[in-house]
Amino acid sequence: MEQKEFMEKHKMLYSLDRREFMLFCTKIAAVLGLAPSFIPKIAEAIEEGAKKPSVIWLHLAECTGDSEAFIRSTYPSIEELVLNILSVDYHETIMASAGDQAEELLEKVMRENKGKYLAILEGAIPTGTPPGPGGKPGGFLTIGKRTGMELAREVCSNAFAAICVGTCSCFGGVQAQYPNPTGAKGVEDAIGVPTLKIPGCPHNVVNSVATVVNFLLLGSLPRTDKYGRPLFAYGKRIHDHCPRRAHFDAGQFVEKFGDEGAMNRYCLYKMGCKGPQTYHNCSLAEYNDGTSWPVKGGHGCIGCSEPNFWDDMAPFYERLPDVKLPGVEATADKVGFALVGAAAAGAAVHGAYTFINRGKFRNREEEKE
Amino acid sequence: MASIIPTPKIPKQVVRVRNATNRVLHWLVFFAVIDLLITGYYIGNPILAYGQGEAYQATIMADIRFYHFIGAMVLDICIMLRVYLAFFSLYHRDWHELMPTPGNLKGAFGIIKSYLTFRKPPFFRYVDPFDGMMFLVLQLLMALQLFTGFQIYVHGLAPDYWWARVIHFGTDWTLWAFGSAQHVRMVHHLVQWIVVSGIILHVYIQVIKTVIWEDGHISAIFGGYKYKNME
Repeated sequence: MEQKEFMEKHKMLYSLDRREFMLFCTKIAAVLGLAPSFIPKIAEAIEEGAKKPSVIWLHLAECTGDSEAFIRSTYPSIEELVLNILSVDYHETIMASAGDQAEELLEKVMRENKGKYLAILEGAIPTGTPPGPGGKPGGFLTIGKRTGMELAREVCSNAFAAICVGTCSCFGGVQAQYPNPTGAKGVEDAIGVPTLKIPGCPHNVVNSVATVVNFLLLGSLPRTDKYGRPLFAYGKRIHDHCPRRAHFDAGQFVEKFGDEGAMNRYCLYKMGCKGPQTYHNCSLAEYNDGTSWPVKGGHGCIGCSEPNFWDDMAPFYERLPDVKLPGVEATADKVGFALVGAAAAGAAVHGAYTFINRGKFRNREEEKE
Repeated sequence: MASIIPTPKIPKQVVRVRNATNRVLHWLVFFAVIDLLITGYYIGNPILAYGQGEAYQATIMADIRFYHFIGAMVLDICIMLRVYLAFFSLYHRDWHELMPTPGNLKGAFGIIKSYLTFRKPPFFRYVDPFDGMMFLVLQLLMALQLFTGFQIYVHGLAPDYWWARVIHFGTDWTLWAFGSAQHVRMVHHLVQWIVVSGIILHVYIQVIKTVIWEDGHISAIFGGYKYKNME
């Protein structure tokens, strides 16, 4: 729907001048049989109820991919979401103010809406101490002279709820993977404030909007799984709702990219698809307004909404991670073949020797000690 | 053949070592493990693929996963029964032969020594310490397969389903122990190979005992009786 038509249709919602509004409140008071002195109180209550929830969106150690995903929202559109449904008061990428003005705004929003605003966090928090003089804990990320840790702790501790969008703020993401030079961690691990997590790389804006709608309608956050992800989006595996699942059950697999099976959209299980380990609703909601998602595009899932995915899901094009033991790094099959080979070789050597010398020691029982 | 299995020169006596329950359990485990190895290898590496037809015309992977789950259930129930019978059997309670006590470990090393020096170890009626320790290790590996396997299986179940809750309660520690669902899979795969090595050694040792030492160990798992030298 065109924005103009939409505004025209819902004019009543947006264009009620003060006089009409007070008239409306008077009518309400009359209907309820209240004295005229209650009229300002009703007006106050309605105004309070109609207030858009204030949102502070923090950028931490990240690539702004989640903001990019956020502004691709279509239903509702981004201007609707930012201006009319929510009041996104602080968002470093899309806000007009800059510098001191922006910092003042942040202070003001936190002061005025203490305990009522939503904190949306994007990006991991580095907790390590940079080398050299003047390095303080968390100093790898410094915004407005404050470290990311201080900033996130202040914003989250005064918020109604903290929502993490994207895998980085949920679980640390790519920058928290081995060897993790900045000591990056997910927000909850870094500052110890419980957060609702909407992971994904980037997050699917459909899920963020659904979470916000849940908050607007019920004033609470949705039910979550053990990692803090909303169950409506992260309660089921990608594999169980995959459009290519029928090919998995039939035994039709892509053997290598570009082959006959890939053209027939067969299952990507043998190409290392991590759909069987990944809880997300990509296969149902799809990305960018239902346009596409990795498996639809012919590439296996890499499990980006799972904790620690960069380390745990690697290698992305193999079914299983390598066996990593001291002095050994090989696939499970190689280690297994070596074990079985050793057992078989041992048995064969022992058996051959025993067979050749069978006449010497047959039936001679050792004395019991 | 006569030179491989000569007529016994030492007089033997027949001793009963296994009752029917024990033998039936062994062969149930045998068939379940064979089934699990074949289907499990396919699930890990689906070499057999259905060709160019429509997906609804074949259910190769679905069927093989089904038989994998059936085999797993049979194996798990057999192991539970075996553990129960080790403590409460009316025929022979052999749990003390399967515990890694210092005596048993010492006996196991003695038997390894006799294998390496090619000499016949002393007679044990039921299970010798080395076989007992190997049996214990295999049982523990099977238990690990049970836990990791159920952890992989539960991913496909709805989280609120009571059976899923039971499995989560019982097996979520494997996620913590091995790091992630992917590593649980890898461990499940790797332990399979260790079990295969164990099976090779187990079969080899029984063949040695039967052919060279003429104890009739392989007969015992079919008929329940083996030989003892009369001295």
